[in-house]
Amino acid sequence: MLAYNKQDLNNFFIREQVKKAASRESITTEEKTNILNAYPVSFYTPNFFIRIGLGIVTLTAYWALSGFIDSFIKSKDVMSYVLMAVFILLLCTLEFFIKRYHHFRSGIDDILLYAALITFYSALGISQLNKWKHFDLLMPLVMTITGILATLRYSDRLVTISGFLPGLFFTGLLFYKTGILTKHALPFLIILLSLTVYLLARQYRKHPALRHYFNCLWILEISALCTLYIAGNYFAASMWWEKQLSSELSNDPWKYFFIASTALIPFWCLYTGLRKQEIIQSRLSVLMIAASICTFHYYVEVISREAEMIFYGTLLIMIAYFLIRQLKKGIPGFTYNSMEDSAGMIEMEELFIGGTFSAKGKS
Amino acid sequence: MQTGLFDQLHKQGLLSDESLKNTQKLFAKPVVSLYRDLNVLLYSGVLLLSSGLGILVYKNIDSIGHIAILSCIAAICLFCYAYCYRKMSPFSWGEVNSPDVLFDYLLVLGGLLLVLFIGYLQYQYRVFGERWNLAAFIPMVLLFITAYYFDHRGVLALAITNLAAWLGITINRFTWPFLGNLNEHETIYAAILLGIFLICMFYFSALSGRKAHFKNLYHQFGTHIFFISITIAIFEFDPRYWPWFMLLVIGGAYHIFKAFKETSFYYLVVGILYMYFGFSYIVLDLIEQTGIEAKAIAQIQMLYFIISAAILAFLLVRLNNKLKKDAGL
Repeated sequence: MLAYNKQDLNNFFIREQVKKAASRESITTEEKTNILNAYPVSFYTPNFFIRIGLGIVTLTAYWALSGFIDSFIKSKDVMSYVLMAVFILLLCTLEFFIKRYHHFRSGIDDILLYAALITFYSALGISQLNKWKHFDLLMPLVMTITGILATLRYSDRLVTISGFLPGLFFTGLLFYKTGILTKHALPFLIILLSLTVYLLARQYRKHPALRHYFNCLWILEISALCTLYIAGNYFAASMWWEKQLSSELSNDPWKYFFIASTALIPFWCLYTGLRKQEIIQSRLSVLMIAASICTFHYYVEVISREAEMIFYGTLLIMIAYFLIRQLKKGIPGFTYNSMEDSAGMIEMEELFIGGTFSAKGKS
Repeated sequence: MQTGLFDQLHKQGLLSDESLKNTQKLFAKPVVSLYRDLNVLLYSGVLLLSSGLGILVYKNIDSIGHIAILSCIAAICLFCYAYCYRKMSPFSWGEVNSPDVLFDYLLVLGGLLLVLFIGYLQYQYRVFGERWNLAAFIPMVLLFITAYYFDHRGVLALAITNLAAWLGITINRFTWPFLGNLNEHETIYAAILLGIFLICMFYFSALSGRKAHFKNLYHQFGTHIFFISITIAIFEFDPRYWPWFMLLVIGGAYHIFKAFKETSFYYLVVGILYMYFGFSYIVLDLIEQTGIEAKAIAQIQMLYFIISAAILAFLLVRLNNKLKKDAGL
């Protein structure tokens, strides 16, 4: 099913682990060279900056191609067929680059894949099918199936999200339209589905047979956590109650559930993230805590906005300072030492410093 | 999964016993770095605190009074400088490690408050009369001294930004801000010269050995200021853009040469993309000058982008391979 050569993918994975071990000085340079020579890859995977450059150039070509074709089409009815042809052309080009030139995360294959999917969805959106009464169900279903198929073939993280989110939307809409669930129950359905997807992705992420989909399952886990939090957030739920049910959540007994989930999900997420040393999940949970605080302050204004900023600013500095001191004393599994020291990272850091402080300096 | 992999490599004779033990230790008890996370937390804290204080001052400016605000800013600024002075390692022209993490952030805060203090003095009391350039020049000099004395790249970035602001104010005779006047010819010349000057500072830092680790920051600013102002010059001096385009090509060629010399993929991409933008503008303009039907012009322009993007992608791939090959990567 995978478009990329499996042997190359295996070797690529081995090389990544070996490079990681070498960067931490766990193996010698000679051993690293020997292993890299023993496990060659034929992939064309350029440097990060070249990847961005190739991505920009491919995007320019796609944009120009769309404009060029659009300038020849006079009737809108023909447009969906032309777009479908462009979709097939893009897909063939993508396969050609993968099979013939062995492109893998080169910037060209990424953009060609996204462009192909966008073109396909656009073709579907403007086709005669959109006059069908169940088109609102058909579109997310097609997007989900396409997303799954494209993920299986190209193992791309963004495509995984593009399949997961319409999948949630489709399931919710299906249950509602068939009358199985009421609008009241939809946030709970999203919570349940997100939790299921999160647990499944977490369980199978490190399965050896799914190693080529590790990144996809990882992003699925993160996305499911996000949708779980958003569906359980009090602010989002009250918006749903107000817009869809024309009533106030504050008058509903379910409000306690949403208050509890707004407060507890971030801490549960932080706890599991730290326990499993999942740094991205821990970062996400910190953002969730910030979102929960904002939600809380939206409804209950204890102090003025500027006083809140001063309070939380001071609190953040104190927490960070305390953690740094503790890390320097030693916390098992964590360190304050920087571990990214490649030339590319240093150039990015220079760029970041320049960008950040020049922007501040002008004010 | 990883330990199984290293076991296999060990069985194949590609790993020594000691390295196997090291990798088992590394992957069995992985150590996660919180360096960037905690720095982001600290930075967010400083940002929230300074913004909160700014809003508090702004809302209460009538009741607090200017002298009180200025005194408060000066006191915090002095505190920051005093803390950093007390904690700093002895001065050296080489790279000096930061004594602690608070040092870095308090120095940036002190630098920002210094600019704010002098700006406030000038805005409210006109201490430098109508010589606005002096109000930008003094903090710029102080920031450069701070950056070199305390060895801080963040403050150096602030100082370079102030240098650009001072130059802009001087050229435009107190027109504020600098970027808003980038279409004025004198400003464009000044910005190009500033870009070249900053690139020269890269070589000066490297050759003199005085704070040589600052060199890349100078080059980053120099590169983008130079290319952006040259691109704007091409737009602004239309149709007399050829001399500027030649300058763009020279700049681009220099960056490609530098990329090969230092094995920098970043400068390779930057040099090529800026040249492409400038070149594309001229091609689009030339197509427009043919005087054919508007729709045909648009179609030819689109066709140009399709063909040129394909050629550029091919060129980038080739140059990337050559760069890797030359560097033995």
